[in-house]
Amino acid sequence: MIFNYLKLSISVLKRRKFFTFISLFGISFTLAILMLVISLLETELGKNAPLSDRENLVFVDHLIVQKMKPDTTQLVDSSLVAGIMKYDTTYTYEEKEVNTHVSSSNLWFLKEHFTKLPSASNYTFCTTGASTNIFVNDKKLNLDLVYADHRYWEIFDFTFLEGRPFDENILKSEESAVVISQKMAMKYFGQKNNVVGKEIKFPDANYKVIGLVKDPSQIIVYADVYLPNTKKIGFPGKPNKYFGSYWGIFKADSKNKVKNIKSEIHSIANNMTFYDPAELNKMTIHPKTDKELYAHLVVSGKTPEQSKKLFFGILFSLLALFALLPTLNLVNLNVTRIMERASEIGVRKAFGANRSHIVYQFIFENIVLTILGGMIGFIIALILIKLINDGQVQDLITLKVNFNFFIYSILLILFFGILSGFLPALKMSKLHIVNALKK
Amino acid sequence: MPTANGLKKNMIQINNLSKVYRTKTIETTALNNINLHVEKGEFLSIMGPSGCGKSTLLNIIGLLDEPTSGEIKIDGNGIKTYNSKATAKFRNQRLGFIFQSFHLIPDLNILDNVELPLIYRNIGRKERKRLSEAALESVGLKNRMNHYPAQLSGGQKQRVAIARAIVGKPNIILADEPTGNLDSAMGNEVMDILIDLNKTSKTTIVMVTHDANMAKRTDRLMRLYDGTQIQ
Repeated sequence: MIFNYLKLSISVLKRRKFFTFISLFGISFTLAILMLVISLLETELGKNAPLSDRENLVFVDHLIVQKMKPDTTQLVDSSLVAGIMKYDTTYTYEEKEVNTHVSSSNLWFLKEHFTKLPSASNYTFCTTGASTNIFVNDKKLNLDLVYADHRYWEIFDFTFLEGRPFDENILKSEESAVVISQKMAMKYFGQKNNVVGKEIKFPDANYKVIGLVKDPSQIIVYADVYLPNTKKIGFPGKPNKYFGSYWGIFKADSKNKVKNIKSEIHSIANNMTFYDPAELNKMTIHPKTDKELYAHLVVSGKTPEQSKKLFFGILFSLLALFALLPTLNLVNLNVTRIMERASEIGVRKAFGANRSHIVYQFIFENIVLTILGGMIGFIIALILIKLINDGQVQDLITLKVNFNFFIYSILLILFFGILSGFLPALKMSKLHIVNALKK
Repeated sequence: MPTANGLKKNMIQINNLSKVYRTKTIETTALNNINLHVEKGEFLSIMGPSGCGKSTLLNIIGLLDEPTSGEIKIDGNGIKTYNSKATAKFRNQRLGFIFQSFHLIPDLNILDNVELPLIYRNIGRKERKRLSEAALESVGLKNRMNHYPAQLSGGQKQRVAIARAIVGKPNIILADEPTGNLDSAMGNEVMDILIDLNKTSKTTIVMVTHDANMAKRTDRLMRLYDGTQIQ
């Protein structure tokens, strides 16, 4: 039966060239764009190096420190009972916000409070979003920087193409050593390798390249230059200060312990001894998983969990909408196409086809069409990904094409094929034989 | 064919059958209290003016449509209780159809068109091919089996349709004006094949026709007028 369906599908596609062209055009471009989105999501949210352990990480990206003061509300109810006025007073004691500060953390503060979380197997404190300008042959280069400790390289599994990461000794010795990305090597030295041992001239000093890493594709860890967070180079932090430029990143041994780490961080914030309670006396921290962190960058819910739900809700709704519009278009096109074949449906039913036979036949035809469109779409997506990655259309992300991308793309094709074929097939299978034969 | 007690077996048995089409405002009686018995191996033709209910009756016999009231038995089976799946299976195994406008599937070649009823019987590919080639040979078109319907003349198309109707060796063939779209020479050719089929394989045939000459060549004639049986 399947062989017959396949034979008929190919025959129909070959004999109805115009319809085939229109359908394939729509399907392939729609699927190509969706595949591009899949690649983007896989690049950013997949378990790819240097974020292979992303599910076990907890991020403290900012602190909320507030001054609260007690606030008492008095509510008096009066009523006249038997000529006597009676009063019922209710007191409500609340805390009222006087001022609020939101910022990333001071390194000193992180070191003081977050180095001994029982459920964290490792941690690192690093900056994000730092940048500087340097000049190469009078040409300005804007560089993204990360200041980190030696544990940064244990938390994130960067792929070292040359050299090594900076270790504890380099941090202690205050050596001016840096790790750079391939893009940086290309930008600064004009070559993608053989850069270890060379120097980069920053405004304050020359830095020796000790390691070259493969460009990370995720925003969280992307930088041109990774610098050791020494007293001389970095931002060591000031005592008794909450705010600075640092994030705390904590790693759990297993996904189950992520919740424990979050609870321990909440507990620290709730039991915080404030340096000057008259100024600030309440701290809130929203520790986040990596997906919650991404969500928080885009939408802001009351809690990280809410942000995540909101973000992925919006994301998948948009994707569904984007997929649904061309699907409806294809459904419409399919109904028209199948309607032209009404007499065929009548004949098939007259000679013994039941409704299931008709539904399977037309869904199968549509899947064959969608697979063809998907293959073309796949090629278009690969070309677009290559153009984006090679052409540096955007500098931050190198889109990935990996096994997951293939699997998700195949699932997308099947979903699209079944969805757009099912409704027309079902509708046409209900066609009354006598009416079908008259068309 | 006489049964054990000497009576001929009824292949089609219709008792008090009526068909009424209803809309919100109008009610049209297409068939009114029809009684018909067709014996096994009989070739019956149905005649009558356009709109008298000939095709409606044929569609009901072919289980393509349902009567409003009355009883119909095919080969001893009352089909009123059949669900759509069982009806489809019954049509596939017991009935063959020939239509005025051929209704060949343009996307399939001649061999695949003829194979159609066998596909829904889950017969293997080789066996299907063998049976279909034999059916095409019996209508003299084996040499055209790789052609497509568009490449054939009207007479050839109808011969393919006959091959498709007989390939599954059904008990009954229902032909709705099989010569209606053909000139007299081709019409006679098709008629010859049907008569030969009726004589040699004792297949019961019910044919709707406008052509009195064709009707004369059948065993029995039934006339309808305004949905009522007049002969």
